[in-house]
Amino acid sequence: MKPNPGGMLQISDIVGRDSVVAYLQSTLEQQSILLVAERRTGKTHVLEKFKATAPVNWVVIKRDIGAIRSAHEFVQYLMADLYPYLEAKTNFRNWLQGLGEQIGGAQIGPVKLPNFAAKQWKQILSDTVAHLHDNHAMDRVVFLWDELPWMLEIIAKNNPQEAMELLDVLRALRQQHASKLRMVFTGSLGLHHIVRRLTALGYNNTPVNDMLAVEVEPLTQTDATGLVQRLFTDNGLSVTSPSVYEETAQTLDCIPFYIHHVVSALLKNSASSSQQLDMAAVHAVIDHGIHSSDNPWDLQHYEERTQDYYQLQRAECLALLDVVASQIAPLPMVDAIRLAKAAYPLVEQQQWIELSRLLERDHYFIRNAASEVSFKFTVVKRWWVWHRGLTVQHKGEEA
Amino acid sequence: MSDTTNASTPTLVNKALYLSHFTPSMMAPETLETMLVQREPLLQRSLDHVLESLRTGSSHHTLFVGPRGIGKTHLISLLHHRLAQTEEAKSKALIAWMREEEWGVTSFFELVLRILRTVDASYPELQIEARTTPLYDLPLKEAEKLVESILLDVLGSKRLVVLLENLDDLFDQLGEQGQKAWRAFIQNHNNMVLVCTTPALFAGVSLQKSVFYGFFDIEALRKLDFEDVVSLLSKIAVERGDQELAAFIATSEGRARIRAVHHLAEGNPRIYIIFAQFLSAQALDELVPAFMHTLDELTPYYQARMKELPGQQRKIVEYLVNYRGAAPVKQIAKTCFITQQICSSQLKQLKDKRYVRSIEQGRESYYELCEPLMRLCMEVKKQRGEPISLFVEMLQIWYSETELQEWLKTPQEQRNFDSRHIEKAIEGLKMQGIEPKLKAQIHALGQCEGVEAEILLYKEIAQTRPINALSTKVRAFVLLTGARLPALCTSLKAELPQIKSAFQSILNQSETSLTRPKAVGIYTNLIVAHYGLFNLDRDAAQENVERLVTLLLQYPAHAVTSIMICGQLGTANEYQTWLTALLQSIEAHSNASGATKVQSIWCRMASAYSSWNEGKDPRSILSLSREERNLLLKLANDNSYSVSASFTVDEEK
Repeated sequence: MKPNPGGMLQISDIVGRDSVVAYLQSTLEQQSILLVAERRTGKTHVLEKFKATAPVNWVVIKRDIGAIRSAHEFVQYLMADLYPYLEAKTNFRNWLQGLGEQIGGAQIGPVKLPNFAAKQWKQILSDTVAHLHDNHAMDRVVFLWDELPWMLEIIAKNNPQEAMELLDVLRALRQQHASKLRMVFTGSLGLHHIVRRLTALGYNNTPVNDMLAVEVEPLTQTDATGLVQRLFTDNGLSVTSPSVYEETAQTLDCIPFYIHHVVSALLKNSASSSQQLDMAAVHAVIDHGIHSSDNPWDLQHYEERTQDYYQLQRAECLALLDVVASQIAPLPMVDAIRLAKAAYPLVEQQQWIELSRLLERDHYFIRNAASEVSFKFTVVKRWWVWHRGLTVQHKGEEA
Repeated sequence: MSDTTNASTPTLVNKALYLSHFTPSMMAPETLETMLVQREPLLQRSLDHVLESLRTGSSHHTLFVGPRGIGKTHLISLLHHRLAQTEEAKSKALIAWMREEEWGVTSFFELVLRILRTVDASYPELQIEARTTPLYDLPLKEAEKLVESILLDVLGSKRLVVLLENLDDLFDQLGEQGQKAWRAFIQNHNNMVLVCTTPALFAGVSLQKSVFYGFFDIEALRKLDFEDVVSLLSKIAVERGDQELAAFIATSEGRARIRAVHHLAEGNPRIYIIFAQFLSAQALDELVPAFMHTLDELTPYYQARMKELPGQQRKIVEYLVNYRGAAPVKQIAKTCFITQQICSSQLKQLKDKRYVRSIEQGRESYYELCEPLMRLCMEVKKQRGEPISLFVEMLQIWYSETELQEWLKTPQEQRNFDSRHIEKAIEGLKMQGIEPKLKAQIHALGQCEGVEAEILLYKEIAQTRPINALSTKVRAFVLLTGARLPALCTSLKAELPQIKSAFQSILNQSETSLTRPKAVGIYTNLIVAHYGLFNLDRDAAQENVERLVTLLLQYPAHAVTSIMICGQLGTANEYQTWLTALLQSIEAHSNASGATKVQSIWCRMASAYSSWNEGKDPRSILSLSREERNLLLKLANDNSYSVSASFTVDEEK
């Protein structure tokens, strides 16, 4: 396997996702899924692996829909994607012919659709999905829609009402065709951000409360160590000790994107191929990724997005993040709040608790069973400490 | 200008002109291969990534990053050439080499059309034009979907390798919607492999909220270092059929001249290609216009970039164009008559726009231009018909006053060039400052890493002969510092008379300028020089020791500090021999109390410093006098207290 940071891997090179793929499959037996994770965590690879290993009688259709501009266009793509599975069915063919003329219809891949611009997209969508039951060989039809929030964002810009309706129709379809139809939504932008914006415009529904949120986590320590070892050995990099593999994986929070990046950077250094690598050499590369003013991993994003995510509470949010980043060990949440509150004494306790919850939701914090919080990703924490000029204190010490 | 039809049997001038109009995408692959320096591993790695993508189901996308003239087009052109010859590319791929600029692409639809046109030109058997003609009769929305279908049909089971330049410009034109459509196409069909270039990293690929964040494997192109440049210019000389020139480049004199050019060109290959035009005297009168033509082609681009800037930012960039090097924020602010806060803010914006880059040194930030070619072109514009200073400097480095005078003898009606450049170069040479070659060599000495590199450089200096008196004198002093290295002693013995004379000069100068604040610096210079002289000729060293000792005894604690600094010199045995001889001389040439004083200071300070270093306990030095303590503290903490810091040339002195 060659390091391929950011690129698309072949299926056999997708390491350590078997359990999450199995979990997706078992969940999809019962309900649809909202797949969530930070950018570049590997969501697309999880979907690819799921698609490649799905049961034979499942139809899995994966599409990046991030550039679709209207609900009508969305329906066109859905029809084109279902066409190969339904074209042999008389009902479907007859229905399609009755929709409209071929002239003026879109051609998507090899599929020439009729022109149904004059018709209501909602009805077309519902009718199309209803035809799933024509093909009894399909036990499940699973739509994997990547970058759905981007699509909704584009639609909502021109027609917020249409975005709201599309969410509602999709929910209704999941309910009506629960025996056969499943959906997996995922994207670089959190769907909750879109729903929040629509809510501000009067949208009152909860369009995905029937879907289970599944988070794509970093790899397990074992899988990440295995990935590091494989990338090193496949590319001729030798190490002073096998512990280098484990420590590299751990330092990079077991995130495949960073692992590929670091190995790629090591290979670009001609000295790496001629001598055994120790952790000092690996740390030098990692430090560059974290501390360089060029910001190659865009860790700045974690600070910048607090403006959008937390708006009027941004200052308190930053205070809480600084407090937790300054601790070498997990800090009890109450202590974290107490320390942050010193700078903002007028903020209510409940607001701090809510803020802490949001920081967990947005992958800044992780909370253990003892209600101690720490940064979820040490890479982010290290950058945060460096960028904001903090001093890391041991447990028990206070500023 | 370029003469590709004559490329197989070129005259010297034709070949030089061909290179001077350097357009890699139009050059013969063999020429591109010949002129590749430093980047073979990078090229091979990129090729491997594309081939891996063609063999497997993976997709590895690469983005080459580097300022104009750094060699991105050269790399892409070579990659195309090598890729096209592989079995994988022939059987499994179509290659779309999008050359240079793709103006007018404002949507993904238009990008796909351009790609199809490019593929059509390379693979006419696919008859793509016939398939795309109906698009123009369709409404846009239908055409958009159909064009993707056409591309998919054209590809079939093959993958499309897209080689594309100036990705940043394309992203600007596509906008977010176009980028999303492109990304969706790539993700949905997994049949596209991208190899792109950009002058600098930009938000579209580097920010987490951007569509293509983290998509590419970023490969930053490094500037050429000195040895790369020597290799490149040698290859250009060979390519031009000029064996004599190639041989000259390999000599110390040739290397010295190239070293002087190196600092002007800032490691940018395009500038070296331009400079390469001047390497042959016969070609000069034909190549001056070619040089100006090359700059003329580049200038509008940089002028347009300047026009994009608001007034204050333009002022800052103009300052950096003139400054030539990295300037601290404070200095920029002062010269531009703006506050430091405003200056910092403007510089940050300029950095985001890729006009400048920052260098952090401790707490201070320095800024320099990203693109050395910009400086060259802005000088042309600024000087408005006056001789271009960079060009004049090049002439001064490469040619002697005699050679330049010869050109001026060319009858007016036969001249193809502006003689003011030659006249200005002659004028500069007559001013008798330190010659640029020597300055560059001294600068390189200060940057040397490792004794081997130092020895090579000293040998180069020994083998190059300056012309003016000041440079001769400075050269002798520099060689004196090199004499401390045993490996050089034999080759430097031939220079002994000049070196002895240089030591005398240093002694004279030190006697007039010695003060307490300057004592350590002056003594360090003297000791290094005396140690060098000692290695070359002990008698010569002995002749001057009385004057040396007299000077050292004026500030004995400072003298001891300098001796400790110079503990970095030579091996233990050689240094001990010299030190013993020096201390004996002190004893012999001073009165009893003077000698005892130096001996006791030496024992005291050396012992305290050694204890401190071993145990890192500052209390080890508390027994010393305040002056001695401060000297040791500075020795421990200050880089200016080092032997390499003594390698500076003050032209005024």
